[in-house]
Amino acid sequence: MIQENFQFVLILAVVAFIFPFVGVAVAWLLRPKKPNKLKTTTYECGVETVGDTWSQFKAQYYLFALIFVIFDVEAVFLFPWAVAYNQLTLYALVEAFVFVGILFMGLIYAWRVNALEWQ
Amino acid sequence: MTLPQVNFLAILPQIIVTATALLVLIVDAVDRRGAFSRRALSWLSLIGLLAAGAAVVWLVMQGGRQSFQDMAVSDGYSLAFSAIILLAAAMGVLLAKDTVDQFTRMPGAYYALLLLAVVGMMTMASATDLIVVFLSLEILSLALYVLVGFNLREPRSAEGSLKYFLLGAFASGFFLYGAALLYGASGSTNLAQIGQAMGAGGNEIYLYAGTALLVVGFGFKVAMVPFHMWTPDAYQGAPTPVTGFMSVATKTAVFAAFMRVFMQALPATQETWGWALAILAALTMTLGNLAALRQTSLKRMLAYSSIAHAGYALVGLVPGSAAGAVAVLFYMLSYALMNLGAFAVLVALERRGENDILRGDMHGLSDRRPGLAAAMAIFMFALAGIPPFVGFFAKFFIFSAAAEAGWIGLVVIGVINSVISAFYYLSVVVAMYFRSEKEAAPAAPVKARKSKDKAAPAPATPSAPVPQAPALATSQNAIRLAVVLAAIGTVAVGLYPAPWTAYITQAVQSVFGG
Amino acid sequence: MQLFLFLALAIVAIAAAIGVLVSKNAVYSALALLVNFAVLAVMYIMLHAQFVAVVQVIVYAGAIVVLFLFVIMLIGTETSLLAARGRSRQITTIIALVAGVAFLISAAYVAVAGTVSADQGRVPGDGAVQAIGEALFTQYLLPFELASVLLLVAMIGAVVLARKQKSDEV
Repeated sequence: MIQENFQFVLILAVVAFIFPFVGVAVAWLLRPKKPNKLKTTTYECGVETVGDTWSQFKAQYYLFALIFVIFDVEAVFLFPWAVAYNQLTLYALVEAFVFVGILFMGLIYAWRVNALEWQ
Repeated sequence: MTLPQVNFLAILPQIIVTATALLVLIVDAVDRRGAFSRRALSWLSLIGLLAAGAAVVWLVMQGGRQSFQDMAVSDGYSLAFSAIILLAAAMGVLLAKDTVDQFTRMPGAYYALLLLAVVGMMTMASATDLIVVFLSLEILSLALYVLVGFNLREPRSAEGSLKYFLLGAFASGFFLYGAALLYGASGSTNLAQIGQAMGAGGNEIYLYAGTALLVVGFGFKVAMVPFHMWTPDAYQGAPTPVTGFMSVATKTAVFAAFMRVFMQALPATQETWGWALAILAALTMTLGNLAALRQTSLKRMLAYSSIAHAGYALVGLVPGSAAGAVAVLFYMLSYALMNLGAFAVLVALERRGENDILRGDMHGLSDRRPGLAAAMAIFMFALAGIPPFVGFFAKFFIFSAAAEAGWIGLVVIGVINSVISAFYYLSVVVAMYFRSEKEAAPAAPVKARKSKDKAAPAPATPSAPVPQAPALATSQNAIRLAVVLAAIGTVAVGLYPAPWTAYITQAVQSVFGG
Repeated sequence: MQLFLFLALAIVAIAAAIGVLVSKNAVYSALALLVNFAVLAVMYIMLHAQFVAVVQVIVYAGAIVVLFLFVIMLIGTETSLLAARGRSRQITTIIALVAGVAFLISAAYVAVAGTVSADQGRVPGDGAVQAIGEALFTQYLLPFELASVLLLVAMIGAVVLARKQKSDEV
C-alpha cells in the first residue's frame, strides 16, 4: 500500500519526465525545415571546443564537493530537528547548536587555511 | 515530551578531548603563521590529554558505572582502555612535537585529527550500543586514513593511506551489515538487549551471519590475518609518530569493543566464534611472525610484528571468559608501553626528511647512542616476551587464560610463535651491540631505500633535505622523554605487575562477572 | 498493485546495478548508479520510510554521485576505462561472482526462513520526520553528536589531503 500523498509525487515525476519529450516533439512538428551547412554545426555561434571533452578536472572540485556533501548531511540532520521543534525541549536547541558549532569550527579552519580559495 | 536523562559524566573524557581538538583547530586557524601556535599546539594537545586522563582517574575513584542513555558507559573496563588510549595519544603528541614540521605544514590539523581519533577510540571502548560502536569506529578510521596519508611529499604515505582507506571502507561495510543482521535478529542495537534476545533463542541464521560479518569488521581494524593486507603499507608509509600511535591505540579501542560486543551480546554462539577466532588467531600469529622475519625495514618489521601481537591478544578473546578479558586488557597495556617505546626510538633515529629505518642503520648503535640502544634493547626483549619485562607477563596471562579454558593446542602454537619472534627482535639487539658501524657500510647510503616489493625510487623532494645529517637537528627532548617514559613503564610494570592486574581484574569482573 | 510496482522497480534497480558493473566508461557507471539510487528511494517510500527516501535522493543521488563524477574526472576517463582483462582478472571475477551469488542465495534463504516479522523495529510514527526528530534528540543524542564529530573529521581530512603542495608555502 503506497502512501497516498506520494501518488502526487509519482504523477509529478511522470509528467516531468514526459514534458521535455513533448516540448521537443512539438517543436519538431511546428518548425520550418530548411537546414543548411552552418545551421547543422554543433556550435552555430560560439567557440569550437579544442581537444578532448573528457579532460582532467582539478582536485579542488573534489574538495568543494566534499565540503558540500558534509553540509548537505548536516542539513539532513537538522531537518528533523526543525520539524519536531515544537515537541522538543530547550535542551534540543542546545544539542543542535553543539552539532552546528562543531561543524562550524571545521568551516572556520578550512576558511583560514585558504582551502576555500580557488587556486 | 520529557527532558532526556543525560549523564555527561559518562562521556566526560571524550568531551574534554573534543573540546581540546576544537581549541587546537581554532588556535591554529587564528594564529596561522605565528611562532606561538607552532609550539602551543602540541602543549595544548598534551594538556587536553592530561586533563582527560585526570578525568579518567577521577571517574575511576568515583567507582561504579555511569551510563549515557544506554549508549555509552563509563565503567572500570572502559576507563582502563581509555587510559591506555590516552597514554598512546600522549606519546603520539610527544613524538610529533619536534618532528611534525618535517612531514606537514598543517600541524593544527595533525593534532586535531589525532585528538578526534582519540575521541572515537574512547567512545568505542565505552560503547554499549552497536550504533555508537559503528560511529566511533568510523571516526577513528577516518581520522587514521588521513593521518596515514599526512606526509604529502612521500608517495608511500599516500599509497598506504589509499590501501588502508579502500580496504577499511569495505570492512566498515561488513561491520555495518553484521550489525544490521543482529538488529534484525534481536530487534535492538543495545548490546545487553541483543544478548538477552539471543539467550532466549533468537533467529540463528541472522545470528551466525551477523557474528561472522562483525568478525570481519573488527578483524580488519586489529589487522587479523586474512584482513591484514593493508597493515605493512599503511604502517610503513605513515609518519612514524602516527604509526606508533595507531598501532597501539587502534588495537586497544577495537579490542575493547570486540570483547564487549562478543561477550555481552553474543555469548549464545561463543562455542562457534571461539573456534573461528582460535583458527584466525593461530593464522595471525604465524603469518605475522614469519613475514616479520624477512623484513629489512624496521617499520615494516614492526608492522608484521603488530599483526602477530594482534594474534596473541586474540587468543585471550577465544575462551570468552573474564580471565581472558583481563589478559587482553593487560596485554594492551604492555603492548602500548613496549611498542610505543620501539617507535619512539625509531623517531629518534630517523634522519631529517626520511620516514624509515633499515635494520642496517642499527649497526653499532650502542657505540653512537648507548642510551637509545639500551632502551631499544629493552623494548625488543619485552616484545619478544623475555621474562623481566612486561611482555612476558602479558603473554603469560593470555596463554594461561586460554589453557584454563582448554585451548592447549592454541597455546602451543602461541609459544612456538613467541620463539620465532625472538629471532627478529633479537637480531635488532645483535645489530646494535655486536655489529660495528663499518659492517653496515654497504647499506649506509640509504638514499635508495628498497622495500621488498617496491622499486619505485622516491622522487627528489623539493626542499632537498641534507641526506646524511646526523639524526635530527632539532631538540629531541620530547622524544627522549617518550623513550624514557616507555622504558620505565616497560620495566616497572614488568617487575610489579600485581597492582595493575589487581585493578584490571576488578574492572573486568565488574562488567563481565566472575 | 504493490507487488507489480515492486517488481518493476526491482528490475530497474538490478538492471542499473548491472549497468554500473559492465559499463566500460566510468562516467556511465556513475550515471547508472544514479538510476539505482533513485529507484531505491522509491522503494523506501513503499516501506514507509519517507525520510530515508528523501535523504537517499538528496545525499546519495544528489551529492554522492556528483562526488563520484568529480573523482572520475579527476582521475581522468582514459585511465578509468577498464584495463585489458587478463587471466587473473577473469579468475577474480569468477570468484567474486560465485561469492556474490552464494551470498544472495543465503540472503534470500534468510529472508524466507527468517522468523523476523516485518513490524519488528519499525520506527514509531510510521517513519515520519517528526518521530525521527524526537528520537534523534532524546534517545539517540550521543550518536547524533558523534555524527557531527565524524563530519568534522571528514572536513579536516579533505582540507589536508586535497590541498596542493605548491600553494602550501603561504
